[in-house]
Amino acid sequence: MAEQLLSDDFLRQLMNVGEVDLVVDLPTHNHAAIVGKVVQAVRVGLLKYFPRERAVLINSDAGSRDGSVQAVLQAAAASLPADAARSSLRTFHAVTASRGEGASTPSGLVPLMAAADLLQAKACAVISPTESVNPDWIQHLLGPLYRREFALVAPLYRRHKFEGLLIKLLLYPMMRAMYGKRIREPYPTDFGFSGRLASELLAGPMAWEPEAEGMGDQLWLTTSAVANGHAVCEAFLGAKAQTDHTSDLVRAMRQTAGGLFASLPGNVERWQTIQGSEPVPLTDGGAETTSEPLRLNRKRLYAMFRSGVTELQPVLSAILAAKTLAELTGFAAADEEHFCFPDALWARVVYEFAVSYHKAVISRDHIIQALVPLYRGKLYEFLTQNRHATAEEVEGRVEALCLVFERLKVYLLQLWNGQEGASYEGNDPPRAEPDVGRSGEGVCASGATADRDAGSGSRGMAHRVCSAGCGAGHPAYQPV
Amino acid sequence: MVRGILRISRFERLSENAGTARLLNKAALPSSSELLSAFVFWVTWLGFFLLGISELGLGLQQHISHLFLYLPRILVAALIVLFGLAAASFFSRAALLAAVNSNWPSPRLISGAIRFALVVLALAMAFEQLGLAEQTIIAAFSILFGALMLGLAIAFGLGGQHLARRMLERRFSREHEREHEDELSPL
Repeated sequence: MAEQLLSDDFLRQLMNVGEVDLVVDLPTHNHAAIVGKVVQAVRVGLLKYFPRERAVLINSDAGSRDGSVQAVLQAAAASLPADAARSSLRTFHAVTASRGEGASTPSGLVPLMAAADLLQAKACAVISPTESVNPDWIQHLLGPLYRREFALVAPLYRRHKFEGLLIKLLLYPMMRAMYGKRIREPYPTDFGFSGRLASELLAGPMAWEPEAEGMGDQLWLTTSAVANGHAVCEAFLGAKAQTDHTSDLVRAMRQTAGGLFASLPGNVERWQTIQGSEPVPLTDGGAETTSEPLRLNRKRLYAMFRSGVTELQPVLSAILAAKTLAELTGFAAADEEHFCFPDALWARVVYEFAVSYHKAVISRDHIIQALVPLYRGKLYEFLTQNRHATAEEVEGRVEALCLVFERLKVYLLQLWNGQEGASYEGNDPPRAEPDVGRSGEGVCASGATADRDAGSGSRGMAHRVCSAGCGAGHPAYQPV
Repeated sequence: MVRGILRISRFERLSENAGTARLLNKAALPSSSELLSAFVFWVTWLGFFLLGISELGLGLQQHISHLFLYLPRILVAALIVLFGLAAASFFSRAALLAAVNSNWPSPRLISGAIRFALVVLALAMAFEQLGLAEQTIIAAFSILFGALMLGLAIAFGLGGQHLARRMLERRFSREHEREHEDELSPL
């Protein structure tokens, strides 16, 4: 079965390699400038941590025109630096394969899994070529898999407090609420998976569903692993170098929210029974957040949110519940000074989008595109509220948002199961929150007029409590 | 009987898989099996009605045969309008979303113009299929489309000079602004 997924040339190269213990995949697309160093780091890591194991490096290239493939092969054949040179007990293999032309993310995961399955590999790591890669990554990503303790290793990075906000505000909270696992980077560029997991997923039906191809491969892997009850852990890899400076939010939304929404029907029996969430084991270190000053144009975000809500009324009315849309329109009509976007409203919006996506009330791609302006509104609110917040405070607010998503999951279930009069009554119950995390229920930031973020520094952030629709008047939570 | 056969042959499921059901739903039409059985009913009813008239010997045989020959054209024209409306709805919404997410001015105007153009095109094609005033319809469509494009060109070139200037200025000044902004990766 696995052979059918591989091109003849790739299959021929793999057959020359024979069985291996470890597979390391380097997805490249015009990375000739740095890929040599990355290959050297991988080789040093393999020699240092797995000297007795058989390993192969697979370079899956997306049509590079700068000689990335040649650079990989040269670096794989070159001698290692003197300080790292050790006598290897095994021959180091490097093979190349082509993946989707122009793809900038490590797509083509299914062929890689097929290759790992064919080679009988015990562990496989995917590493995006960046300056940050060092030999220790090999141990962090492959070690827990090779010892057969875990089936999937997700990374943790040192990141700026405002980096990866689509993950923090949407993907992580919803995925955590759905599958009950607190995986901070569910859409990683560097990760590891066991050969056993690869074989199981290849044999399962999900790998062949067309929709699974449309979502980010990495997200598909993560959701499949947690939904099927595989052991997942996190490993701290250090600073994350930016590989995808995309300002194309629509594309990012398709890869993340689109992928997550698409994964829900296939795993419905699993996620419907999950309540709450639990952390996954950390093998090394922990997430680190930095808060250097940044210059951000928040006004543009706010303007795009407002125009989006105004202009997209006909589209949003097909997706959102009338009450949710009315609340959203009300908040969008408020001036910048008094703007707020409560966490509970955001969670409801995301859940209603997920259900509309499932029911395909309009084109699914249009549903994802319509979510983008609303995310900009939440993003604006988050940036405004946290512009002077410390890293810990930001983490606390993300945690508060996640708890709101978890609590409102019952509302999603009602909508999903088509219960008439799905209710989110009491989605803002009074409860103990982390002091720093009082961002969600009816508490919004004021002073949103500043054009530029001054970065961290002062902690004297003003808050105000919204009046109508922001939490007041909701009774205690009552599942229907 | 037709409805029963369609139910047994799971025509509804086939229609859902083919996407026809969604299309009909969006056009606020009944389900595909309902539509098909209604069509068969009315064709049969009309057939027997016309046969009855022809048996009366009123000299209408030629007209009746013409009417029968015309039926497929009506069906094709209806399908053209149906798909035209669905396409207009899809593409106008796609344009609206793209315009909003790209922060273009007047997204609804762009979306409405696309919907209007596609609906007019579908109607023109349907009328042509029916053979109703073919030349007039084609001429009217050509004039309308040409006038629309010319009007847009003139409006943009003359009336919208300042708007065009503002748009270009805004675009370049925004590019200028972005140079001084930090870029945040959403992922």
